Amino acid sequence: MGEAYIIGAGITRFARHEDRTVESLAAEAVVQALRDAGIGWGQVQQLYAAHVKQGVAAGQRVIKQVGPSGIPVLNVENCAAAGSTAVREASLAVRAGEFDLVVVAGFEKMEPGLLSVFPAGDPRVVMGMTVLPMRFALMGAKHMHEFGTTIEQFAQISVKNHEHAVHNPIAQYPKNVSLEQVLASRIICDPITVLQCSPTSDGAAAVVICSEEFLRRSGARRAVRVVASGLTSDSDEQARNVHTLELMERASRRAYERAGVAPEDVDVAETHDCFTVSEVISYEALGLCAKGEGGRLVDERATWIGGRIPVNPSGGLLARGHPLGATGVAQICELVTQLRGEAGPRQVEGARIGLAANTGMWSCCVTLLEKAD
Amino acid sequence: MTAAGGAAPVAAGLFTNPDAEGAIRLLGQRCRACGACFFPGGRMSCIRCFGTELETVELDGAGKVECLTVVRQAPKGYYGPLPYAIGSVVLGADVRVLAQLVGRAPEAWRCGDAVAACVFELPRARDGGDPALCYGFRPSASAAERTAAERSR
Repeated sequence: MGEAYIIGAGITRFARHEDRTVESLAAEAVVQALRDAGIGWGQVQQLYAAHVKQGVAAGQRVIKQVGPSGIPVLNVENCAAAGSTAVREASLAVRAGEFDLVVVAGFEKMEPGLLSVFPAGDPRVVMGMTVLPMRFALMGAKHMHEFGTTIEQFAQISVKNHEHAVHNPIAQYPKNVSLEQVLASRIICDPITVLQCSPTSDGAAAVVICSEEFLRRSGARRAVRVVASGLTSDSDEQARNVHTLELMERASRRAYERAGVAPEDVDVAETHDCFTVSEVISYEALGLCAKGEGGRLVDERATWIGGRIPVNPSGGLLARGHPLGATGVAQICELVTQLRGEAGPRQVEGARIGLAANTGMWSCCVTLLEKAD
Repeated sequence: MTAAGGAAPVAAGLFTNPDAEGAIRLLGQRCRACGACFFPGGRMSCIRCFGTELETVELDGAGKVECLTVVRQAPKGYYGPLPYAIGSVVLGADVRVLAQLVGRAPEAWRCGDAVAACVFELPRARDGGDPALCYGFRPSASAAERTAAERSR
């Protein structure tokens, strides 16, 4: 198996882009990523288009804006894990020798309000059991009951990620919030308040992935190697109504094993903080701390920039924003920036190995990246 | 099919006909090969051994709240009262069911509370329409007495 490298990254501002089409957002990210890589669209052999609710053949609609080169387009839908799933598929195809150069674009323009993923007529809709934070509220309640984790520890995640986002020029909410503000904001689902929920966002992110051979020929610098990834789908939740992040645990174990990397080796992580609770529990699922110790990691400020293992230096889904299909690619873009040492005031010093954990409904993809030179 | 209260079940095959007090048994599936039980039914194969010989069974009527949350913003398509409690309830050894906890103020529920399966009505549409007979859990009789005793102490 060959190697796959990311040699270009591009991202739009995450915001509510009332006056933009999703195609133009995606095209902007692709063009930026190509410019960053120093290559032309004509060299690209396949486009992976990650999105969730952007309609039929959205990837082909994007191509129309970037250039009708006739290359194949693969549309990837995997709920909010679509972006990282597409990066995984793209790097596997490159590593298998099928392509030398591909582009992954993740993009989304979201409908307002709480995301609804259940079909109308499902009895759970009538019974009020489809409110999205519910899964994480139940995980949080169980964590509090079993390990004594506090509401404040969960809420601190929002404080941290907003603090990080202040230094991210593309973030949707680059402003500080206090613990008091987070706790006093409207409760959606105990213990999750509205400032502990990721916002409704529009945006796009793209990466250029190439083979080792292409990297050598092109002489591209600042490359980041895709070391390994793990993708898991379905889980105890659908079979047994157990609310955990066990599928993230499985995905990360697979990625660590493939990479020959241990959790202690990770220098910086972007995790799926769709709600504050999920970030705390992801620390445990990813092995960044022992089971039940997530709250303690928060108290130690270990996951702040400058801490032992900074998590979500970009601001995460909570403050950078969460355009569903774009999120997984945005996480990878942030890690590429961090591993290149180009993150400015939010730089994690000396970062060499980065981890992205991206979940959708009943899927999770974990990606490990390493600075190439 | 219409139940005693007049409302039609939210979906067919989820629970037995309620008795005069509204008590029900949830209908799950049991694997003939390995004995695993699960809810809801309607699956083609067992969640544990993937065996395909499944039978419909009445699950235990009594259970325990493992964890819960109080929902304060209605999701799309929900027209019932707010706030409401949703609990993960463990029936018997390890069958988990997610449902509303009723018959007590939403904030008063605690992890570990003993409950019994019951029916309650929820509107299907904004204007009410025909209500749906839904499954949920209420304090079990013994638990209610215990709580009352504790409160009086």
